[in-house]
Amino acid sequence: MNEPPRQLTLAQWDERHARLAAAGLREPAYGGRLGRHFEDGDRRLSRLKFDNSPAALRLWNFLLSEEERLFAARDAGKKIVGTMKDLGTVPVMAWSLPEVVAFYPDGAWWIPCVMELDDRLLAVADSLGVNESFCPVRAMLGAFATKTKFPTPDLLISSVGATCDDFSAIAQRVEGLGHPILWWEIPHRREPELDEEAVDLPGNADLLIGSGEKSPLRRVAFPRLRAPRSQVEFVHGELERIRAALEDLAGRKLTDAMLADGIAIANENRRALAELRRVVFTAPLAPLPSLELLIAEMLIIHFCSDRAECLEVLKELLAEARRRVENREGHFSLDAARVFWVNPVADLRVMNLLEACGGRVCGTDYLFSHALDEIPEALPPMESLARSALADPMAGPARDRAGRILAEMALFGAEAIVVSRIPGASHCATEGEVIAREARRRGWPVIEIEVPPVSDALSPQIAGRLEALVETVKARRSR
Amino acid sequence: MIAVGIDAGSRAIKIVLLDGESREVVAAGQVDQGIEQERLAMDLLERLLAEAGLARESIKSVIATGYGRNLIGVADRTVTEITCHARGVRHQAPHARTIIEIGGQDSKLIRLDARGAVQDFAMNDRCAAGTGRFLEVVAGRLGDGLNGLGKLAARAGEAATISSMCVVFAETEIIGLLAAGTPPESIAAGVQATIASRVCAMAGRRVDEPVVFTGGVALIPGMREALSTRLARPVETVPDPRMTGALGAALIAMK
Amino acid sequence: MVRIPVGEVTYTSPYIPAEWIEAHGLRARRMLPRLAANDGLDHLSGLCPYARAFLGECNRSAGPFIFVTACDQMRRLAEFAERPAFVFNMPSTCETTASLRLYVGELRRLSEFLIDLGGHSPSRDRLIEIMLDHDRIRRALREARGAMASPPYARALAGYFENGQAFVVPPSGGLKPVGVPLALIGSPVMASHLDLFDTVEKAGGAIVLDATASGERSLPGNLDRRDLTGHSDPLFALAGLYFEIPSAFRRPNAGLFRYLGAELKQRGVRGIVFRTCLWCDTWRAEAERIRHWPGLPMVELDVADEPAPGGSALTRLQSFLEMLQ
Repeated sequence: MNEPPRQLTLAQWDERHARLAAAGLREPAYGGRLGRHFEDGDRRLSRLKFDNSPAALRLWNFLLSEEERLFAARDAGKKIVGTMKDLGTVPVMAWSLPEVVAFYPDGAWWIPCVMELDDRLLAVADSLGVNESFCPVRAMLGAFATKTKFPTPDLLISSVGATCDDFSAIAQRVEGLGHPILWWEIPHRREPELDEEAVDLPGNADLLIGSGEKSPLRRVAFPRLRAPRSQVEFVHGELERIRAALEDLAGRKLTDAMLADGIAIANENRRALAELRRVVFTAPLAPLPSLELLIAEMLIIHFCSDRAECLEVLKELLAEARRRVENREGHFSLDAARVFWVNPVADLRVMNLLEACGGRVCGTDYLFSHALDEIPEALPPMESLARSALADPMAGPARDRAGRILAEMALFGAEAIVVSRIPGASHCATEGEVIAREARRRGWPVIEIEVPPVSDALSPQIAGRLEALVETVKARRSR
Repeated sequence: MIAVGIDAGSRAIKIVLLDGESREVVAAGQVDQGIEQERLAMDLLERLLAEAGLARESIKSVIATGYGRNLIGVADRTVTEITCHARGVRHQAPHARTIIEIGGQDSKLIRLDARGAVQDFAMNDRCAAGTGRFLEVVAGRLGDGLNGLGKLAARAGEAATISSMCVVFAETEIIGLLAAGTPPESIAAGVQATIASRVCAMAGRRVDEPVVFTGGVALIPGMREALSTRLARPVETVPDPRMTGALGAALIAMK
Repeated sequence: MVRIPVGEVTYTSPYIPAEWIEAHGLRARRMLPRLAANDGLDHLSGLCPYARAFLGECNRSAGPFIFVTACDQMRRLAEFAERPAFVFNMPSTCETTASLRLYVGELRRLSEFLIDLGGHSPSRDRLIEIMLDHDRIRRALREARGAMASPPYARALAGYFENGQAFVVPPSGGLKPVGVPLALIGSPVMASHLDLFDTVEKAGGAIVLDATASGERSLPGNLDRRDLTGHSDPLFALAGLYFEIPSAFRRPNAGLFRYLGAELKQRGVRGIVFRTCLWCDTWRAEAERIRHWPGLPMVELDVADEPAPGGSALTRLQSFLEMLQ
């Protein structure tokens, strides 16, 4: 069933699927031809290129069947919780209750891309006065207004405060449509004052890289994230409000033991993803393309509405990546420019474009790096979750985020940065500049691009920048 | 043997023929961009070869650059404008550390290291307010050609403030300024200052000298001075700055 | 090391009580910033003009500034400040005691910053005295509202913000606002845009309710002297007043709509001038809701990077008022 790595079009995948099925490919219930999603309206798939492994097939099918899974959960009597904005903390709590399914309404961001605007979610948002001056997450407002993309949640929870104004403003409009929201505050993370107790946050571990044989061992220092005890306690208190709301919804206690189990399972997913990122980003040849890695990273926020299956999907991808590395197989050429990618793109096609221009992704920061780090298991669970929430890159200064990006660049051997500005997102004006400034200070080439949900008309310009970046990287190598 | 650089830009196709041994320009020319750009490029190439008395077989290599580079079938390879402008400027002004290129539809800022290699770059290809297109719109509104606009600006006592970030709104603003009796000279100077401001914004706070200005807009009187004022640094131009990208492509083709 | 007292602390958010800074022996300057040409900030493309103006003021000034995290741009601006800056964590949530406690905690942290600048720890009596002074000024300002034309009233408010306790309420002159009664809602008005109030008058209207963050909406409510009796810390009373200031960024922002509902009705407002800064998502998202919710005609004005309101604003306002008349 294994073929040398290559990227397939949708039509090619359907042909391959037929061959695999004939050869006895075993798939989960949501498996099948990728083409069926196109026939159901996911038109963008016909313009994407996909990895040819069965693991990637499973990943895509898992992603594209989430809507069905959510409606099935509702039919099965599960309570559905929309966990908004915090990208990785509240879902862990919600999933700790067996009666509850958590999902990520913000994920509607990609629907206009995947459906090439046929979904009309952006048009609906426009009609509600939330136009293109807002970030693509405005599609979420359209989704709540049309009630077609996911079941109406039994409970909506959204973080606010040190988050992003676009999201907060749009979520407020969602509430105005008659969907009450439990707002919880995430304060702007700051350094402890001299007289305050400092608490270490997850993601602090320095890493040793290099084999010690061919490449010397060296330490990559990650910026030490800390917060004052008072902020951790405040967030802890906010999470207790959420615990109470979840208990009301489920009609049972959400005990520390249940939370500890939930954290352990979340960590298992996070470890699998961390290893997948390490294997893919450090391999000489890319064992998986950047698009599949982007999707895999997104799963970690909310497990794509099936926590156990999410782990299996990630494990299969990891096994495939390892197999390819061992066989010295991979995509693209050995001299592909190694690019660190900052911020998710609204149009998935741009990830293919980078590779077509001679680059590959070796490191990412999609604005939820705190969800990639393990939640401490040695501490009381609510304390751990509070610390994890405060490590959110959006909650802290942009220079902390830049620090981690530069550390990961060193870890993964990236040679340049693409800062993908999110159209309309007000935080990009300042964050992108800080990241670019810090990177240039260390001598890395940086480009900024802006990618709308359907970027076809801008493809030549975006490709021009990406190609120029690749040329610059290669010219620097030869010096 | 001849090395050919073709810069298929958004407004014009420029071609440079370079002698592979002497590195001298044998012929150079340009033609307005059109729908059939490959045919236009081939016609221009044939014309330049004929003028220089060269046969097609004398061509060793062809590099295409510019917005339409992927549509030039005769090219052996494509290279982006960033790399080509950097290479062209390195040939014409080896000491340059910063390149500002303003073309018809986009503008670029390129930082070079001490050896003339690209360190980093920024581009504006979405907003016309930092491009030659803005000047064209204004020249049309003031009823003067592009060169006339530059001469007009040179006579201005004070530059008018044009604040809109969008060319469309800026045009409305200009109508308002004309209605309010603002002299066209001030408006022209204000537009040049606005373009300079938009372009310099790409540089952030770091601009290494010497600064070299290329692209078709570098030929317009007053623009170099406007950039120099905005950057508070001297800005140089190169001979025939329209051809720098094509020259760079030809130099790369020589390799 | 000799500590040189710094006399003045500058900020622009309504959530920083001037009383608290003054009780530390420092001058509180709540600034309505001015956009300046050549501010060196062109590279921050996508920055809201108000945030840009404030950062420009900070980088041109010699004194300390306070940045308040009420929006995501202001939250990060301190990273671009070229002088000491304090980032004040303003909670968005407003319906829990935990948020109020966080706010009080931030005021206490600010106190340490002010002391580091050369201020002194505030005494209870001095704080109460200053709170009463401010309360008196604000009551006088509210009373003057119906007896002043809107341009001088807007400037009087700006004068109070700029001078704090030292401000003297100007005589009203007994002139009532003349023109179609309008409400101004949306992003705060910069000092360089205060002519907007004159422009509205010129077009035949009068701003009888300035519900921007630079207007009356940003004045805390009247002080209840009973809150100052006994041994309770007056800081709680002060924090309680300022924490209640309604705004679009509070979550939920029902308090803003309660405030607008009551004031629009009480003042007989016939139309709304809704004015938002480019990139101000918080207000822009509410535009459609405000257009439909009170059932009043509304005109929208955008604020970009222009140093002063452009002629198009006058044309738009004139058309709007012709429609209302």
